[in-house]
Amino acid sequence: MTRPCYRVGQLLAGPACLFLALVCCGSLTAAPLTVARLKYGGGGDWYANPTGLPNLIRAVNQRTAIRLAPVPAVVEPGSARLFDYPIVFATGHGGIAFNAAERANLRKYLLGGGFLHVDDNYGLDEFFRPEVRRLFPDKPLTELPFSHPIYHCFYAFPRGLPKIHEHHGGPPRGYGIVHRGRVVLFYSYNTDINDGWEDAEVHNDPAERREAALRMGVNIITYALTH
Amino acid sequence: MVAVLSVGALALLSLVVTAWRARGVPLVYRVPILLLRLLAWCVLLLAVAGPTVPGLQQVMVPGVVAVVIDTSRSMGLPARAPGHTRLSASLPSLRRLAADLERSSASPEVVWYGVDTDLVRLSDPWTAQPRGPATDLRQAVRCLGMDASVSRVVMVTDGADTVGNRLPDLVSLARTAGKPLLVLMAEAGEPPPDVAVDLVSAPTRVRAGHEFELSASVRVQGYAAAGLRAEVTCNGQRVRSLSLGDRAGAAGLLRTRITAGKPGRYTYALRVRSLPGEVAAGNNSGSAIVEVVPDKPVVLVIAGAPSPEYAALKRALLADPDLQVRLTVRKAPPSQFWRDDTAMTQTPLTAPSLWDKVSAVVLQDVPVSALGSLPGRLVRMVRDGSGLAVLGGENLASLGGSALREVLPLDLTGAGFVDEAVRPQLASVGGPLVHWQGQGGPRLATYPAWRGRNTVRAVRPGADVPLRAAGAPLLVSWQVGRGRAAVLLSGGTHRWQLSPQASAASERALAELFSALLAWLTEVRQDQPVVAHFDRQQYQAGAPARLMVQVADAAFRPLPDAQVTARVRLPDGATLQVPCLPVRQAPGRYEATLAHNDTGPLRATVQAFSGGRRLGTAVAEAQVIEASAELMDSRPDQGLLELLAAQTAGAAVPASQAARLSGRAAVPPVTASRVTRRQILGEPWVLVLLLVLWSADWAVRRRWCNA
Repeated sequence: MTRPCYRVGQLLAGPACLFLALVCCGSLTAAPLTVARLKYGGGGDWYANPTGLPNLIRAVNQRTAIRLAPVPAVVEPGSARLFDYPIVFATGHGGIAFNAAERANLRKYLLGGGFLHVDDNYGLDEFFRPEVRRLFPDKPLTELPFSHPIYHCFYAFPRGLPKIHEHHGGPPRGYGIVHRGRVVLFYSYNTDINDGWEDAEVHNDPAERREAALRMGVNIITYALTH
Repeated sequence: MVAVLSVGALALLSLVVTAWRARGVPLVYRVPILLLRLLAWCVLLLAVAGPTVPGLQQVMVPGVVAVVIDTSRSMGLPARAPGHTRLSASLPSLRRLAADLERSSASPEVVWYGVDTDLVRLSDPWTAQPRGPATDLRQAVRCLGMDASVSRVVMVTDGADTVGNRLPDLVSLARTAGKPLLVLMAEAGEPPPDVAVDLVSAPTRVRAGHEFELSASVRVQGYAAAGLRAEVTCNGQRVRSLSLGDRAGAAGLLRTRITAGKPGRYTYALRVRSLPGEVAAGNNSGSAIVEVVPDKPVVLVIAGAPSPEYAALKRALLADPDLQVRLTVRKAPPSQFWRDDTAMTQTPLTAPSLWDKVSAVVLQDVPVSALGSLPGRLVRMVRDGSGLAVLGGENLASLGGSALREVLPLDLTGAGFVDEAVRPQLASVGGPLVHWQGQGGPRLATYPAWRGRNTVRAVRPGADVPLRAAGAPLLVSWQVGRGRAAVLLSGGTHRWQLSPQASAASERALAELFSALLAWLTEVRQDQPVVAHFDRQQYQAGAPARLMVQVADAAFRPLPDAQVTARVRLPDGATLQVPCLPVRQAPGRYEATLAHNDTGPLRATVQAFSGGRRLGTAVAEAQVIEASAELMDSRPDQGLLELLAAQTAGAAVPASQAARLSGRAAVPPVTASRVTRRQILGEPWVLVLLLVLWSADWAVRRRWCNA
């Protein structure tokens, strides 16, 4: 073995041993929380806004005490792995549909402590509202008042959702499915919050608008992990 | 006569023998003669022996009048006539009645009784002394009502029936007796000055720190109430003074509001000092016992960061109706904490509003770096009686090097974390899990697995491990100082709710687990090794006083096998040693019963020993008061007496007018059946039978024997 290689080997031996020790003895830290993107059926672009969630995660990790895995997972609504993610996001421009098994699984997830944020990326609304009625026939999608904790739990949004992009005219609206006083599904409509989380060069939004979107996203995640 | 008959019996006997020995007389003739003579001989013997036969005889007997004199203490109080008591003022009139009865044609038999707490015959009614501690008219009515020989009942009483018989019962009993009650109502003079605390009332249970109303009904007679004050004490300590106000001669209701102290048993007493000339001082005070129970314990949750575990914990605790929950969560590093139970506001961990009356603290995955100087404060709190729960997660190990290691039941130094499925198993039911009932017990095997477990080096000696997972400790708890601490070595309990295998039972079990843990941490426990008290603040002389003692070990757990003795100082100054015996089914409780007839303070100094070592001492005090309910309320009750008389078709008159009852009391003789006994000797049929037998004997001899 040449001397440089020997030196490299020496340098690597320590960390390798430490790594092995950690693997053998158990890690010192728990796996960070992971949020997931919902891969739904119905033909819509569930994969839209690919940079949105990672940016939001980064903002949460920077600004709060919450530690999220930097890369969001992808999970299907009928999968048992859905329960591994405390918060799931969904967005898109088109069709969204759940089959019966997916509805049952998703409903069990939400009522058991999970949280789903659905952001209308312009075009999702006409497909989503019927699906949510099928998902929760016993609970209406209710507009949340500006005083709701989701608008105040980290940053203050006294007038509710920030308006990021114009869709239908009029103010943005935040709706929720409420179970035992907890919002289990939050639907942001006529704002396109997810667009605001994207990289700056994607939509070229003003910085303050992106900041408002990220702040609202921090609120959503904080609310989900405190209720 | 007996001698004559005896001679006759002997003569007959000789004839029997002669008949038996007669010669030449055929047997067939000899036997009847023998039998006749034997029969006559038996009849004679029977007559001589003198047996009697019973018989009923109807006779006329004098009617019985029972005169009952009230000999209770109230009859010794002054009457209207100067120099007389209620009893002595009634006697002249009673003598006249007795004389009238004697002179009457009916000449009834008068039987004298005295009644106070019992009914007794009086041999000399004119020397009866009013000493009885109380009056029990019911006793008189019942006994005399059952006596069939009594035709009339005359009562001399003031009606101050202090045994507490219910008026309807008394009236019903009197009516059932079926005999007219003739009542001489003893006349009373001006009532002596008296202040009576009739009733002290307070709620029996009050939550600690809450206000309640203590009220007392106070009666003042023969004295101006203005200027009188009532002292309110709590367990002998003066609380405040209340003015009786201008309530001369009237009854009034005193009210005051009191803030309940710490949990425990408190005797609130209200006492008015004795008045000049007051006869009954024993009714100057009253008391009520109030059990102060803990207010809903306040639990402070300090969470290291928002997380699904924190959210599940928050939901469970906020849904617990027996807790007051304060939540604070670190929203931003390093230590920016926000209140999460009220309007979300940034609140430092040292804010007094967080810590006011906190009974237990829950640290949910908080790094020690965010706690500042709190670990030291938490250690002091636990040692002073608070509870501490530490819930696991990635930050648990950081607590190992902090001051908290003094009170945690395990060594967290170098604690690790394993990201694996965790299946809790019940290792013991006790400690924190004694309240964890669920539905027939938690069905842990059917619940989803938790996720993630902290690994530790060692569990401290004396700690309990109620939950394990694959043999490793999962929940560790112990009592330390006056407080308790528990560590749950997992941050993945929320999986009992958020899991495809979650069920209503597992969701409920998670909430119940946290509730049980907090209930155990905030349980009110005895904080002195020995606690003693009497079951009442006042006892009437002679009534049993119950001394109750609770003994706990160094860990403040009830100690069932201690040796407990009380050194009691009696009202007369004497002391005696009394053993306190353990109470079955109440480990740690001991009792002794004392009774004393003297009035004054009763003080018990209780000591408890275990294994030859003294555990502690406690003192209990009570007061022995006059054993006379009689003087608690000495007011004559003429209304009662008139009602009794009316209900029995009798009459009630003032004692000085006893002559008005002479006619009604003079009961005529009555027919009575008497059982008599007659001697056979005096019966005519015996003589007739003898004559017949002798005649038959002569006839038979003449006809058959010529003997």
